[in-house]
Amino acid sequence: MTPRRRRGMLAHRARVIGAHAIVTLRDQGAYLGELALGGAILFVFLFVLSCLWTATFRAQESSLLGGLTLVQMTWYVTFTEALVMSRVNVARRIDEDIRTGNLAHALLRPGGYLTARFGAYLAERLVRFAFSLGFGSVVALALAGPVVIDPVAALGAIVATGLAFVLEFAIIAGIGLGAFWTEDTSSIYFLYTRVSLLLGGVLIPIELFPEGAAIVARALPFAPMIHGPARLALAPDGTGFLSVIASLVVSLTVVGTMMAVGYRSGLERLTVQGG
Amino acid sequence: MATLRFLAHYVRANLEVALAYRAAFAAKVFAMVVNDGIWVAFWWLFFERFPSVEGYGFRQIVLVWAIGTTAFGLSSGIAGGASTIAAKIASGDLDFYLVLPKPPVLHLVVSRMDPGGIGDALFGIATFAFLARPSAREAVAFAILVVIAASIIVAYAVATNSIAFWAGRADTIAEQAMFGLITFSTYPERLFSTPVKAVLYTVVPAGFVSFVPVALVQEWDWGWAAVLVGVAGGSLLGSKAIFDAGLRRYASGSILAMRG
Repeated sequence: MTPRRRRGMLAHRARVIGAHAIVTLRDQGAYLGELALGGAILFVFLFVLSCLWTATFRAQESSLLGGLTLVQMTWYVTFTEALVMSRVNVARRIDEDIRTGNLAHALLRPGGYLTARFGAYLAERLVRFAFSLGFGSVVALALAGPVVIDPVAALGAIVATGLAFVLEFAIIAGIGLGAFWTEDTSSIYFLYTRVSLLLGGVLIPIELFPEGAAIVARALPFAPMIHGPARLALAPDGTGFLSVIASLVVSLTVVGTMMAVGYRSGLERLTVQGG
Repeated sequence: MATLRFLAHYVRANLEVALAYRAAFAAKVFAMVVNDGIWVAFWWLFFERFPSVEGYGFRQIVLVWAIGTTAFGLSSGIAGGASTIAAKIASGDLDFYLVLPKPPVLHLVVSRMDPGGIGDALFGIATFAFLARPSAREAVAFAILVVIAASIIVAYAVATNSIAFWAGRADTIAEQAMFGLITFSTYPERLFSTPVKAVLYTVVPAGFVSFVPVALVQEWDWGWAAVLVGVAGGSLLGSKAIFDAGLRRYASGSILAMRG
């Protein structure tokens, strides 16, 4: 393939992602009720976690735990909760497409099936994340007060969040593609959400894990995907940026390759029935 | 006794229906065990780093989770229909239950079993037995208290779902209310300030579902035990009264449906 043709294909894929993202963004208005439910759940979680960390700081008679003050800890859990609550279950949609045979029709459309799914995922994820972070920030502000955010660290956190969204798409889409081989991928997705809750450092920063558990958590993709952007956002400067990005890129390379291989071999098993 | 026999028949029938799809049943039970296990693992990580917070250690939080998961598991495993009442009211789907001989609310709550509840209950009992390592007195107290706590949860679900009689759609409100109860019931009481505790002993009864039973398992107190029994009885009667009051406003959905 010539470099010109490759550039043309990439531009075409970008247009497909953009088109699916815009359609999904328009659809989001229909799910305001679901967003409101998410807001109420987020409020309860943040309130309880704020009580927990307030009591912990008081019991430890310390102003700093894991390198974070109480105010920063409240904002840390706000960021991590926003990241996990904005998760989009694209695995269920891919699973349905494979099971119902819709995948065969989707493959006929230009731009590629996973590219289209990625565009829709990205738009929905951005809307959910903006809502969760915005609402969570109001709650965190009321519970703990304002937090100082370094502009360079914030920029790093934004980049890391973007990469984390791409990495999570690769993981969740990979789970959905499991429908080519297994009866039910919903239990795998459920397990993924639970394990990432613990090993991603959602409720307790990785710095406060026992040593052995911290080593395991850092070796898996969950920590750079959840703990990484949240910790970067609260860093005094951008020094942690490169290590977070490096972990995300390595995870993305490994998971992305696995997903691509799984997709190709899955397509070979695709059987179209009926017309 | 007749009501207990009625409940036993329904539970057996629900279990047979659930076991017709054994793989799906096992997957749901397993998923709930994993979910609960992850939370207890979080608390293990937490208490490894901070051995005591507000007088709570790992054993206390294990008791909180053992009692909470068993009580919520029993409530949704035996009376999983309670959380579907709001949706049934909104869709005008209550008609079927109105012509049955027993009180409609009783049929409604036991008409459905949530297999995840079985997972919750199994997890709670196993956690209590293996992680809390109870004495014989604690084990007896646990067995009694989880049943009382479960009845308060069912009453709460019936009351919050019955809002639909007045509000039209209330499944989201009822879902949020139950989520709040679950969340507050699985954290130590001493984390919360007095005004919050006032809410947790009234509007969201986490105090009676979790805090009081946990305290009673650790140290039995006849006075608090009597209060708990009174609250459970009052909640059940109160929720039935709310449901019956709402039922007088109910208009049939005039739905024609086949039931297998």
